[in-house]
Amino acid sequence: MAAEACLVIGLGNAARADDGVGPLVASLLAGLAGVRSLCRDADALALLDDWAGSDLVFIVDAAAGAGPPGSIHRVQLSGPHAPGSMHPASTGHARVAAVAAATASSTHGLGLPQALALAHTLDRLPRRLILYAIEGASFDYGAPLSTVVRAAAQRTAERIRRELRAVGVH
Amino acid sequence: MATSRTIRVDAIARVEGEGALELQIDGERVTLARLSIFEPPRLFEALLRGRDYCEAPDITARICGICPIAYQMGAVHAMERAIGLQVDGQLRALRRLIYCGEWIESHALHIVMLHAPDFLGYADAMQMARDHGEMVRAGLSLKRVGNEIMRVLGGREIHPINVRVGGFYRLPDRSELTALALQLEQARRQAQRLLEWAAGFPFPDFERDYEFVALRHPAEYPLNEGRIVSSAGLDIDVTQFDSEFEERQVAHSSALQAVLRRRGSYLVGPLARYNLNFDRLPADVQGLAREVGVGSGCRNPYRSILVRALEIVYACGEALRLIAAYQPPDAPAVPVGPRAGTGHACTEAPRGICHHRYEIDADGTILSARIVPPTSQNQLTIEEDLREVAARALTLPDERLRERCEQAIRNHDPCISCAAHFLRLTVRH
Repeated sequence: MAAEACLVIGLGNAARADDGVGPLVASLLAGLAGVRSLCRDADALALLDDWAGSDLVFIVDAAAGAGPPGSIHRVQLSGPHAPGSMHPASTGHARVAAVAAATASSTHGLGLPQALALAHTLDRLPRRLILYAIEGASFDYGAPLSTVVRAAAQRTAERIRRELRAVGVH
Repeated sequence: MATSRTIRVDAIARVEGEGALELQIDGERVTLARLSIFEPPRLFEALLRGRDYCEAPDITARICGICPIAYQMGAVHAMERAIGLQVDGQLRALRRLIYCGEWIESHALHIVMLHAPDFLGYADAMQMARDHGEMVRAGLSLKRVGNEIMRVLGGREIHPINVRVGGFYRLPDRSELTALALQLEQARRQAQRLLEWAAGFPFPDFERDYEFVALRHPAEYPLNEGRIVSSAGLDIDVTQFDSEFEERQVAHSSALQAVLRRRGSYLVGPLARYNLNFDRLPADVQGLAREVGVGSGCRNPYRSILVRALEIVYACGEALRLIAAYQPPDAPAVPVGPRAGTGHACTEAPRGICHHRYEIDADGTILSARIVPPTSQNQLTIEEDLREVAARALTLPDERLRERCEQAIRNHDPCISCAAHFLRLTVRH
């Protein structure tokens, strides 16, 4: 089968400790054949342009308040197995909200939930969109990633690799 | 019996940064109208002290993710004046081009994502998109084109890294500019559609006798250069900024409030630029302005959304003109070297004039820095607008009055993050 256009987007700020987990996972997957990876640290509105033309998109972001540090949540936001398509099951929805809490509190840019809602309304969601949210331990300025989250980043990268292999990419 | 009402919005939505609104109404009188800025101070001016003069454009770019070019341009022009350098020709044209990109992306974002929902009765752009998807798409597409200009010339869309004292680090390829021109042709049409759409909005009948302050250039609609002029007859070189303008601390804001020393509040931004420079717009843009009923002058702040759309049309056309006339210069930058001096610059950020002053020593170390962003200059005027808007709408229920006041703030597209540039922070409860 023709390879899908695949994209991994790491959301977060590497200068804010575990908030850098998204960019770290994106960098771990950079260079995989057939996979594009990029990082975003602010306005989620840019995601609509980032994933234009991509069939399978993974977003990796830090989360807070939905589990112990290092735990990994996977939420399928669009695609054949997404519960309710753009409206995932309530637990998934809660997770999305938890993940996005850090960015949604700011008015500087659109948060992830708003960007997803806008993409849905404008019919600009990728065919399959999967969110990996990793619980952080610390979001201190200038601090390095915590050990437990760094390990979770490795596991997340491996899970995404497996998903990519399952659809014939990489 | 006189009743007392307090209207509060603790975190104003659809503005850049964090601010609050407080309105106190006693009987038939508005006794307090306050735009509080509680975003933490940014300390950029202190951060610049002791750094090399060539670092200023990269450091100041970080003041704003929406209008970094305004800060970069203010910094490079001021530093070049401090060292006695004039950058002309195609390098000057490229600076103007990248500034067009910023105007396009900033104005498009404000029109579609922040301001338009006010007029159409939606809570936000996401809801508005259900009924006005085509216009939201057009706005996002315009923003993308603006960002693309910044990426091609600036190296990246947000906080560009290719602007330097003396010019640029890398010049754009002809093929990159050709691709931009294709996008700009379409963008210009989309901007006109956006203008026509916005022209159909219901605009409150509200005008104020602002003192408009903007740059004025002998031949151009102002971006990077010009004298500082006002609708009350002010006409000064940018080096005289301090003799006419003063920044004051107020307890409820972490941003200084700027005033004209002799007259008080004033307004900068698209309305001011437009009113003071209508004759510098090309005939086709003037024609569009007349078609949508703005004409050569406009004192209704709600209609600033139309002026922003007109400025997008202008910026697309100007960018196309600059690209068509582009001839690669010999080098991406002219040689620079430090010398002791003071440099001033004022440029037209999307939200209005942004003034920079730096003092550097003989080896180029920055001794002092002062940056006066547009929103700090508009704060007092925004509070006056609030007072008048509220006074005329006292019969509205609280919720509607709150919405009307929030809209009055958004008329001026405040960039609160940029404005917060002072140390002391006092919050009054």
